[in-house]
Amino acid sequence: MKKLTYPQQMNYWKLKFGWGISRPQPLNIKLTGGYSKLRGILQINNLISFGITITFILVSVLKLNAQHNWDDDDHQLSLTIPEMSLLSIVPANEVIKLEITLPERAGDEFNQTDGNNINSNTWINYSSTLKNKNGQKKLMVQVTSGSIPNGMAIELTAEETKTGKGRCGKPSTTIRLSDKQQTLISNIGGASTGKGKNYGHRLTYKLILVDINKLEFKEPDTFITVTYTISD
Amino acid sequence: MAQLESRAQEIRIQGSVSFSFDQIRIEPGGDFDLEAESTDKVNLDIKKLTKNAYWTVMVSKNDVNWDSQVKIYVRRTSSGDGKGFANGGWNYILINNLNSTFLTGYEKLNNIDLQYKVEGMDVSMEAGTYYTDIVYTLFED
Repeated sequence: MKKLTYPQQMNYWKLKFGWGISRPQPLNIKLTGGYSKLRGILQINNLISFGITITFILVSVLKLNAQHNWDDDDHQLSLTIPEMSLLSIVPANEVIKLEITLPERAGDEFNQTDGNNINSNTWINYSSTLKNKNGQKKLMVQVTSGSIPNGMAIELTAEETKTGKGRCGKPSTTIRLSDKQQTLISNIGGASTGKGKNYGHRLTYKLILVDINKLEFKEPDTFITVTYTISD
Repeated sequence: MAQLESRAQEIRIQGSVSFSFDQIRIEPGGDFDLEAESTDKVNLDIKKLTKNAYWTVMVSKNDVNWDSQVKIYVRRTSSGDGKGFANGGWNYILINNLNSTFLTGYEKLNNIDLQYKVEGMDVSMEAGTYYTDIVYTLFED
């Protein structure tokens, strides 16, 4: 890691030394009359030149050392951000109960307006980082155990998140749950929704009667498991 | 020349620093800790000074692929060994890409322990490893 460079000092050295050796240049111009006189001038000038050169070398060396009053060293510092996809449904282990009330009298319609068929008590929280800032992830949902009774459907809606940092995802329109994976939230970037109830996307489940003719009352209660997955 | 140079002041850094975040510690919906302090051992030595020399240590960084939203701070956590002494540097100072004064002192000193702090990380940063070089420059006054 040790680096020693003296760019400024070296420039100084070259300049001074170059000027020193260029001093005898006038000797190439033959203006003097006799050879011996020329030779004498040559010798004197060479001596002067040599002296000047030595002087400048010494000056340069002294200058080099005088300016060398610093030193440096370095080391590496690194920071690793992991790629992650984390999600949770809050409150944890919440069992959502949806029901449609049977009509009390023959000929009445099934009651789908008393609110028992709707639940908005859960939120989805997630944290996500991406290797590529322009990439995106999506949140998928599917029924992974049990089945929705014939003639009925469960609609699921995720609200826009009102909390969070980064690029939180965009919810799809209302979807009907099935055993096939469907995209609930897309375009999730590096983001965190915040933790806990009232953070992230609020989920609303709604049980609806689709076709009364297909209803089969095998059991009064049906259990299904809904699984959420976040992926690239 | 070689003899003259061998007497020149010298600064030496030993060690390097790595920060990494364990995603197991992050709850869904949560973010990285806003700041983190180093636990790696890094120390610096100041030596080969002329007699009775006063000195100054400047610090800067030379980014390789550093994310500018993350700030780096340094402080010293020990006085060092030797007959010299140092002034300042006990509180974190921000490291920029230009030199700023970190320590001043007198005479030789070894094993001045350094600690770093990074802040400003969040999930919007691209996953990966970011590097920068921390450069210390010693000036003999």
